Amino acid sequence: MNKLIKNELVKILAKKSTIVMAIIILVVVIGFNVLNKKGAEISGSYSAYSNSYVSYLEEELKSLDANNPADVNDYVETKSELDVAKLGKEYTEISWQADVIQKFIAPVISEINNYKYLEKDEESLNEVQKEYDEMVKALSNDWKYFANKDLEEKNESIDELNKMLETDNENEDIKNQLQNLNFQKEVITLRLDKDIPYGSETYKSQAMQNYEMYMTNYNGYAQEKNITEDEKSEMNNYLQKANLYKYDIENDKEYQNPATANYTLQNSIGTYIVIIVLVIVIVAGVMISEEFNKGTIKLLLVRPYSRTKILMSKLIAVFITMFITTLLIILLQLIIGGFVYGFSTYFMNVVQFDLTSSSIVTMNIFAYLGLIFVCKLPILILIGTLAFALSTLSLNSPLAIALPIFGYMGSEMINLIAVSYGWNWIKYFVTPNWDLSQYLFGGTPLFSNMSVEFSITICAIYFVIMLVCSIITFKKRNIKNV
Amino acid sequence: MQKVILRCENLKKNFGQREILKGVSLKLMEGDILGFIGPNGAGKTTTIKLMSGLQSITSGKVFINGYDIETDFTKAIENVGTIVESPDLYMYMSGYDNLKLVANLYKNVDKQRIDEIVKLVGLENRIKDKVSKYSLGMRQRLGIAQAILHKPKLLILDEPTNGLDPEGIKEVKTLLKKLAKEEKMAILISSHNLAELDTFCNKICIIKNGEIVETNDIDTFKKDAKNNCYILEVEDSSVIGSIINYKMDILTEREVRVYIEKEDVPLLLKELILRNVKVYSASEENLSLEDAFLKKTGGNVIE
Repeated sequence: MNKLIKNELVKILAKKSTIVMAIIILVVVIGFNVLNKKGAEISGSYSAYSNSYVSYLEEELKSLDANNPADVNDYVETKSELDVAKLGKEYTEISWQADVIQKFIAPVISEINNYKYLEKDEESLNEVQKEYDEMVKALSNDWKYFANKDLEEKNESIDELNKMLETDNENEDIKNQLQNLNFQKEVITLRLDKDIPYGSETYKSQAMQNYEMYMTNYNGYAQEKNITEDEKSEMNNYLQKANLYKYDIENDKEYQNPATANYTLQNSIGTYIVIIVLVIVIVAGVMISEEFNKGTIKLLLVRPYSRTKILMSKLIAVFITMFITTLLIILLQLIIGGFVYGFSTYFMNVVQFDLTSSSIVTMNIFAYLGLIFVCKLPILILIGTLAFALSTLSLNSPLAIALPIFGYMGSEMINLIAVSYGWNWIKYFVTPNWDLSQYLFGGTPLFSNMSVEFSITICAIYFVIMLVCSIITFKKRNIKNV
Repeated sequence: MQKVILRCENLKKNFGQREILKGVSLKLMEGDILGFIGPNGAGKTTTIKLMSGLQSITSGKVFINGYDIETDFTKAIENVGTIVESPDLYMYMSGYDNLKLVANLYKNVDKQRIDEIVKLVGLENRIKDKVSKYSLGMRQRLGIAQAILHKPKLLILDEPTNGLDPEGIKEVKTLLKKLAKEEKMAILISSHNLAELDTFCNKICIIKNGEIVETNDIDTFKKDAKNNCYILEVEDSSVIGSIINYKMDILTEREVRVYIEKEDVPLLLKELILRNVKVYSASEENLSLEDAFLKKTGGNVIE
């Protein structure tokens, strides 16, 4: 039977389409890496506000009259937007200044315009104007001025809320607000402590931004009373990400930096799984049908091997092809990623956050890739077997290729619909079960009453059904007269 | 004692309600070359497919070298080399790679054997080319090569001379004769080309509408088919009819065919000469295999 498998592999390798597919894989991997790097570079060089936007706002402002009570609200709004734009167009979108302008100066500007045109309160205006001038001065080189100021404000608010809580210690709203403020204070302290400016110019700043965003989202869910299953899994996802960024900030590391060779490599299976699926489906889908349609199956069936053995060796050849394809893709990513981003990051481990133990776990990158591959294996095996079974049953290659691809593309959709409508029975279908990575690092499965053992059993049942159908049809099949 | 290589017993095959084979029985000894002939749609290819396990048998048995093709498939098929319908090869591979694929599946075939066979079928100059670039004749040769690579005891060839030029046909015939003689292969050849089989089969089997019409040695078959015809060359054929009272056809101005027993020929000649008819020659008409075949089958009616 080894010789049968070897023959099948020789046949696959001899085909022209194999070379074409290898070239496509090469192009895709190079393209992905180059575009990924270029994309990161381009996004940093533009300002959020363009000159044409500024002149548009100026035109808009001319048409409004500050003394007309009907216009004054719009006037204040447009004027504030214009002031912000004028100030912001000097800085790139990712600079800390742009971030600070949005967060701290924009509210002050609208306050100024409010006092100036709407309330006409000279005294307050002067006070706010002074604050504004100080801020603009600090904008040239002192982001810490804003952080310290923010910290002061947060402290004041916390004190206030604490006082309120003394009188009304059952109020959930206040407690939640207090929790949020304390978290924001923690973020600012961390920022000052680690000397990480606002904006997203460096990876550190991005990590800070992402940490704050994911943790805020997580807190939002955590404060809610009743949350659904998929919200829970989303919430856990936020917690994992937030903790991973926090780990990088606290330890001066760049594990989550997407523009490194290490990061692209560790995510390569997820990134390129579509290609692996395509390859396996194309190979499996023509495996039987092509030999029948071209008549070469006769060459094979008159050899001293049982039909079951012939069929099984073909299926095994499909799996070996899938394995080789995956290895090829990982190897290509390893080399190309290294050339694009530099090889040094390959010596780093992979860092993950384990939800069950609430701790950071580190893993060797290749051990991690192996683990992910094993978790995704049911997808590849089941999709491949489906294409193979359809090829055997229908002897129609286009059908055997198209159907599994649509099935794979639609699987996410099926899961999403099932979860949102609460169709619990769909857990007996393959699509919620075939991605075992949902169980990794304490992750919550699609339906709460699913387990690894359950998922593997379901996948195995579908696999055996498809296999038995193929074997029975193949054994019974007559070679028709041409 | 010659060994029986192939034995079919009352082979039947139905496609749905239609009976394609209605009880075909065959026996083939080692060293035999059997011409398996019949008109289109008579069931030749179906019989071959049943013999090589490519289609399921409705009823009846096939034994190859003593092994039942249904219950002992691998042992039975090990002794068979075959081309069914047309030599379907992997077009995207070279001829040599095609042979290597086949060689991998048998224990006794090594590189030397491949080279030997390639030489035997005369493909040594083109064997590294892709099969898609081969002519039909070259594919046919490669088909024969893959069939005999593992020294089978039974060679089943479905129209092996299809697409070959006269030179090629001659070569294949010589090759097959050699295989039958030296390797004691039993060879079953189905063909339409009856003239070809004439000179090189030693047995013949005629199938019509799913039934065996006749199985016999080729010489007996031809002798049986004789119908005692003599061609006379005379000065004027039109006058003959009034002279003799044997059954006769006038072929040309100078030739007549007379249906007559051998012993009566001198009497006829004597009489003709007495009556002053000029006879230039008298010869026995040779009945070709084709005529014998048509006589036996009387044309095929596709049911």
